Order: sequence, then structure tokens, then C-alpha cells
Amino acid sequence: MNQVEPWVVLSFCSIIFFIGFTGLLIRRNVLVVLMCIELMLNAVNLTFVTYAKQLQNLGGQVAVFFIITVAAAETAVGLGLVVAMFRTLRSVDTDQIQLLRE
Amino acid sequence: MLFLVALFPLIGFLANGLWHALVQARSVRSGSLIPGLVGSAAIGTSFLASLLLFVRLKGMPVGQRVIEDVLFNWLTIGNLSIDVAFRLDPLSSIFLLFITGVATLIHLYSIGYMEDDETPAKFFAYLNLFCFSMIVLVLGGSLPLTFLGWEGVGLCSYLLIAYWYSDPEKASAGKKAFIVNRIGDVGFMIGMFIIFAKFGTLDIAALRTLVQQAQEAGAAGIDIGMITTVCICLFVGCIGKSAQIPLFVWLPDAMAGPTPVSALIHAATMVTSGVYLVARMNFLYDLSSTALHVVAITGLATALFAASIAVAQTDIKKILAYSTISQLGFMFLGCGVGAYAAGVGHVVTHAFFKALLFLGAGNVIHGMHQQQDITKMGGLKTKMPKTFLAFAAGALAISGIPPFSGFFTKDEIVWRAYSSPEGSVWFWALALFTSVLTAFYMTRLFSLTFLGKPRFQKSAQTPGESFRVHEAPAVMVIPIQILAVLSVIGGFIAIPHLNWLEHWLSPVLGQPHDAAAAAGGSGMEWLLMLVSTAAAALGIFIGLKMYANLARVDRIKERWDWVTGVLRNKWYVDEVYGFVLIRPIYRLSLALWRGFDIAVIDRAVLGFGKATEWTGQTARLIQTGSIQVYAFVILIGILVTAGYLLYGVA
Amino acid sequence: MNISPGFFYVFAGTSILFSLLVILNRSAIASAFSLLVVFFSFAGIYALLDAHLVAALQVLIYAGAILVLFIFVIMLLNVEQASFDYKRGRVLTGVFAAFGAFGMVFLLGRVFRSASAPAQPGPFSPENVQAAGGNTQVLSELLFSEYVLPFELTSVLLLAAIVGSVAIAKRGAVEKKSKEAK
Repeated sequence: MNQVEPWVVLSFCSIIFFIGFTGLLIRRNVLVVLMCIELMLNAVNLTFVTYAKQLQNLGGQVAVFFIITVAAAETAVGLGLVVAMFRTLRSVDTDQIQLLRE
Repeated sequence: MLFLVALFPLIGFLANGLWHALVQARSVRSGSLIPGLVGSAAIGTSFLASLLLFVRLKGMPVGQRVIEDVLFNWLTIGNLSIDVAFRLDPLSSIFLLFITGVATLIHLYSIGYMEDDETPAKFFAYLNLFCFSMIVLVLGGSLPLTFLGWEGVGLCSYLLIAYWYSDPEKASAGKKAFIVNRIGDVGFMIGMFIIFAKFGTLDIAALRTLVQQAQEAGAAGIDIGMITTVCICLFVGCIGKSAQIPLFVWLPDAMAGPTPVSALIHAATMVTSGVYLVARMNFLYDLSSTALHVVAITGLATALFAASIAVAQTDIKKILAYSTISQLGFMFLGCGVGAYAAGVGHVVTHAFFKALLFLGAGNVIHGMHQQQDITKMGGLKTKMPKTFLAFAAGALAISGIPPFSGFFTKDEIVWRAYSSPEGSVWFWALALFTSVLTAFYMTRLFSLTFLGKPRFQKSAQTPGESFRVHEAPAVMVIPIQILAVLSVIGGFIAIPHLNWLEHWLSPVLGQPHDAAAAAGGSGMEWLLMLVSTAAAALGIFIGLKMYANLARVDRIKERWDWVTGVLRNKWYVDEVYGFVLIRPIYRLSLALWRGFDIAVIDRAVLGFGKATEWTGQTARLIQTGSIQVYAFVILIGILVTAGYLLYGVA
Repeated sequence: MNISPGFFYVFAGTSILFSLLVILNRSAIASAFSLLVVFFSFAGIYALLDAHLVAALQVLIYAGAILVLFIFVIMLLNVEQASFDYKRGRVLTGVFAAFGAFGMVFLLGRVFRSASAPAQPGPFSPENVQAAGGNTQVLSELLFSEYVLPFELTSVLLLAAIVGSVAIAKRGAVEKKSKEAK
């Protein structure tokens, strides 16, 4: 009764990941899209940690360490972009950032 | 050594051509003297070389009179090997002599005639190129090389007829000449194909040997039907090039070119290449009576037909053009009855007097300020005496009055038409009648142009400008006078029974049948000679008498208007061709163009383009620029890939 | 794995519920706060899984820095509540994505389930870790020995991120360019 099979945790991770992916596809607000990206990253972090525990190898946690760091840096830059974009377009609607069309 | 004869005019062509392209095209008016001298020097040197070669040939023993010069191998494909080989034998040496000689005189004449032209260097370049092609034609040792020259003269004919191409009519005339020639050339080519298929070689000497061997092996081994076909195919080429029925229509139109061109190409040289070809291939024609009959009948019919048209024409050059067609018919008649030497003899003398007549006409046109209608001339005897005398010599020669050159050669043909085993009385009779016509229309021309009272002061001229008719400058008169002398004495090379020309040509053309014995003895021959002379004299007499009284001529013309109308309109041949051939072809082309070229091919080609464009336009819709769309596509990719890969595992 | 199922399911359930809220919420700020709850639940799960440093870092950095940054930007830009989120195309996409997600999760679940445990577990069993001084100690030692190169590179990356975000978000450069564009 004190056991949770690894596959349960991993399935939970994939649930979170795909929830995040779905949010990425359907939201129009750029900031919410970025948040969904963070969700996905978290799901991946948990996968790493689960494997670290299952395989008794701390390499997974080291990876998480770095992923968190990079996620922070990426968020900073991404939000800077959002701010710059807002200044020009006066909105944060993803439908309006289609300059690379065709 | 032989190739030098061809090389000099080629150099002249290049020199004048480069001069024209680099200098004259930038409109530097430099006059015709230097280009003309360059051109004349080139062809004159060829003439001297021809003389030297002739002398050399004469010094060789009779059976071995061949000088050969193999330059290089043109092509070798499978069994076919063609060398660029020039071969000089008695036949080609005669042709070479009169070609280069008359051409030199005409070049000198052109210096005067073309002195006001804007691009004289181009003119002399073309003339030299023509001479080069003609020399290649005559010296060619194999049929393809001759054909090369054949096409070359056709090309130069086009270039020179359409020399003043800014006039659409003149340009059309050039086109007509080239196209009609081309139709004949198809026959020539088919003949070559059959020869190669059956004999395996296109070299003329080799062919001759093969035929001789086949003859010695027995007549049964030779496929006469095939030989006849070959001969007729080759003759089709001659019909085109030498303006026989039905492909003569280009020659009268070709008078649109400058008169020296008419003299050189359409009187003395190019049109005689057909006769050269038949004479050259005599060993084939001798095998097939049918082919010979075709040649003779075509020639005779053409001679009569063209003479009838010449009687009713009013343009001085057109009369001479139809006269040329008629005389060419005579030459083919001669060949067609087996008397090749007689035909060749007439080629030589015809070159002299026809060139003379054309150049004389050139003087008249020049002196009358570009007037060519003889009804508006008259009385030029006193205004252009030197031309008058020379022209008279030419007219007498062509009419066949002894001792002028035309008499000997034309009479030889007429005699052979009577006496040869391939000939017949009818040939003789019709040929005789044509001679009468010839004398008549020449006298008409002469009379209307030079005799009587001048009719041209009545024609409207620019008020205040005096219409002075003058004799031509020396450079245009002296060549005519030289030709006149030749027209008088040139026939002596072919006096019957002492016939030097016939003997000279016999290694190539074979011994003529001993006609005298077959046809009633030499008495008959002299009798017929008298008859010929009488016929010519009759023609001249009628002509002089009739045209002394122009009012009577007009009355007669009115009474017989339906006849003269037909003759004047050339028996409506051009109109018939237009209706029967040209219009349907044009309509068919138009229909094909619209129905196939545009509808099918253009649609297909453009369709490819449109399809590509459509694909591109459709594909570009993928680039939406929205990352969420891209993410969606990624999702689909993940689903597909993972589903495929992991399905087995799960 | 030897963890308490009760805690795990509580944390997991919370995470799933609130992550659904993140993606379905109308207002951005509500999404941000739902995300905060998700982060905390995750930290709990990390702690359950004996990843103590990671749990702490999760709270510190994710919840404490990144999310704060998000909230700053949301409030700074004062984005209007988007009532236009629900377009037909997006709804269809969402439905399709949901089905796809279900399928993938199902598939992955089966894959994970069929995967067998490795023969030889690694050296970092909970007892060894405890004996070596605890998770943080062991992890730090690892970072500065075996993984020191990525560690240093990460610092360069952070430097680049700092410079980059300042350059992008600087008021002067962007506004001058946008004024020229007009």
C-alpha cells in the first residue's frame, strides 16, 4: 500500500504535458501561451526526477537543475519580447504576430 | 592545286564581306571601285588558274585527262564516306573556263553598274561567294560536294535577287527563287539516297566504274527501273535549278535583281548547272531511254512554251529571261537525245551571247534611267551605238545565223534531235519552229529597243529636266564588246565534222552516235543546216517587217487579243499555281496553326507552367506565420510517429 | 517506488485540476495564479520523490521568480480581458488536441507500464544519499565535480539572457525604430 508504481507517475507527467500542449494550441493570449510552455517544462522535470528515483541515479536531478535555470532565462527573454511586441502592436494577441506569413 | 581555283573567290568573298560588315555597314560611302577590283581580281585569278589547268590537261594523254585534288575527309558515317575531293576532267575544265571568264567580265561590268549603290562591297562579296559555290559545284568529285555547290548557288541567287530587299516585291522574288529551287532539290536528294542505297558510294568516278563493270558483266544485272528512277529524280533537281517546266516560275521573277546578277546567274552559270549534272551523269542516263525521253520532252516543251511567252512580253529583262528558259530547254533536248556534247556546246555559246544580251540590256536600262519597258524605248541606235552593235551580235548569235556561235551549237542540237536514235522527226520539227520563234522575238526586242523612232520623249519626265539618253561608260561597254567577239567566233569550237569540242569531251561524254550514216547520210545534214538557217532568217525577216510598222502591230494585237493576252500573262501559270497549290497549303497551314499549334501544344506547354504555379500557390498556404498552427502540425506529427512506433510496444 | 500514495494522489489531482484551469481560464492573471498552485503541488511531489533541492528550487525560482515576472508583465501591460478567445477554429483545434492528448497519454501509459525495471540500480539509493550527507550535499558535490562544465556554461547562458532581455526590452531603441517605421 505504500507503493506507487513508476508508470503512474510517468503517466501523470504525460497528462500534464499534453494539457500544456493543448493550451499552447488554443490560447490567443501570448502570456498564457508562455505559461503553458512552463507547464510542459515542469512535466518534463518531473519525468526526470521520477527516473532519478527509479534508477537511483542523481543525474536526473542535475538535469532538472539545469532545466529550471534555462527556463528562467528563457522566460526573462520571452517576456522582454512580449513587452517589445506590445509596444508596437498594442496587443498581445497571437493572431497578430503573423509577419512570417507565406 | 585545284582547290586554289575555288579558294580565290572565297578569299574575295571574305575580304569584301569583312569590309562590308566592319566598315560599310556604318554607312561609309566608298564607291564601288575598290570592292569591285578586289572581287574582279579574285575571280580573274581563278580564270587564269583555270586556263593554266586547261593547258595542263591538254598536255596529258587522252585517256588520263583527270587532275584530282583530295583535300580532306568530310564525313564518315558507317558505310558512307565522303571526301572533299575536286576533280578536273575535260567536261569540268570547259565549264570552269567559261564560268570564270564570263564572271570576270561581269565583275568588271558591275563596277560601273553598281557605282551608285550604297553597299557595293556586299554585292561583290555575294558575287564572289556565288562563284565559289559554282566552282565547287563543277569541280566536285562526288555528288554531295556538287550538291553543296548546288545549294550554295541557290543561296547566293536568293541573296542577290533580293539584293534591294527593302522593296517587298524584290524580296518576294528572292524567296520564290529559293523555294522553287528547293522543291527541285528534293528530287536531287532522293536521287542521291537511291544511288547510295544501290551503289554504296556517291563518288562520281567510282559510280562510273561500277556502272561500266555492270555493263560489261551483262545487261541483265542492271535494274533499269531503278536507274530510270534515279535519273528522273536527279532531273527533278535540274528542273528546279535550270527552270524547266514546271519549276520555271522563279526565273522571270528573278529579274528583280540587279542586271549583272541576271547576266551571271540566270544566263550564264547557275541555270546551266542542271545541264552540267545531266552531262556529268551521262553514264546513267545512257542506260535508260525512258529517262532520256523525259529529259528531251521536258526540254522541248519548255523551249516552245517559254518562246511563246517571250513573244508577248514588254519588259526587256523578262524577254531575255524567257529566252533563257527556252534556250535551256534546247540544251536539255540535246542531252535528252544522247548528244551531251551538243548540249554542253550550247551551254558555252549561250553563256557568251546571253551574258552579252543581259549586259547590253543593263546598258540600255542604265542609259534610259531605269526604264525597262521596250514599248517606251526606240531609236537607241544613234544614242548608244556601241551597245547597239554588240547587242546586234548577240541577237544574231541567238537567232542562229551562221557564222555566229549560236548557229553551230543550236544547229547541232537540232540535227541530233533529228538523227539520234533517241530523237525523232517531231523533235526536229518542234525545235525548228522554236528557233523561228526565237529569231522572231529577239528581232522584236531589238527592233523595238534600238530601231525606229524614239518613243520616250512622249513619256512624262520631270519638267525642266532634259531626258538625255547616253551611252554607258567604258567599264560597262568593254566587257560587252569582248563578249560580242566571243559570240561571233565562239562557235568555231563546235563546227560539225571538225568538232573540237566533241572530241575534247569524248572521254567523259562518250562518242556520239555516228548520226550521219543512220539518218540519211551527210547530205541530209547539210540540207537540214540550210533549213535551220532559212528558218532563222525567216524569223528575223518577219520580225523586222512587222515592227517597222507599229500601227499595224497594234491592229494585229487587237484582232488576236485573246491569244496575245494569254501569252502576255504567261499562260496564267503563276495564277494556276497560286490557286491549286499555294492557297490550299496556306489554308492548311493556318488550320494546323490554329487547331494544333495553339490549341494543343501551346495549351500543354502553358499548362505545365500553370500547374506548377498552382502547386506553388497551394503550397504557400502552409506558411501561415502562426506558431500555433505550426505547433498543431507538430502535434499531428507526434501522434503519427508515436502511434506508429509505439503501437507494437504497447 | 516507496512513496505515500495518499500524498501523491492529492498533489497529482491538484496539479491536474489547476493546470486545466490554467489553460481554460479567461483572464490571464487567474491563469497565472492557477499556475502557482501547480508549481507548489509539483514541489510537493518532488519532495515525495526525495528530490529536496529540486523541490526548493522549484519554489524559489519557478514560483518565486518566473511566476512573479509573469504577473509583473501581465499587470504592466494591463491586457484587456480577452472575450474573443473562443473562436470556432480554436475550439475545433482544442477538441482535436484533447482527443489526441487522450490517445497519447493512453499509449504512453501502456508503454510505461510495459517497461521493466533495470537490472542494476544506480549508486544513489536513499540510504547511500542519506549516509553521504543528504540530497543537497550529494547533488552539490555532483554539480561541482562531474557536471561542472554545464554548470559554467549555464552561467554564460544567464549572462546572455540578461544582456538580451535588456536589449530587447529597452525603451529607447525600440521606440525610435517604431517611430521611424511610422
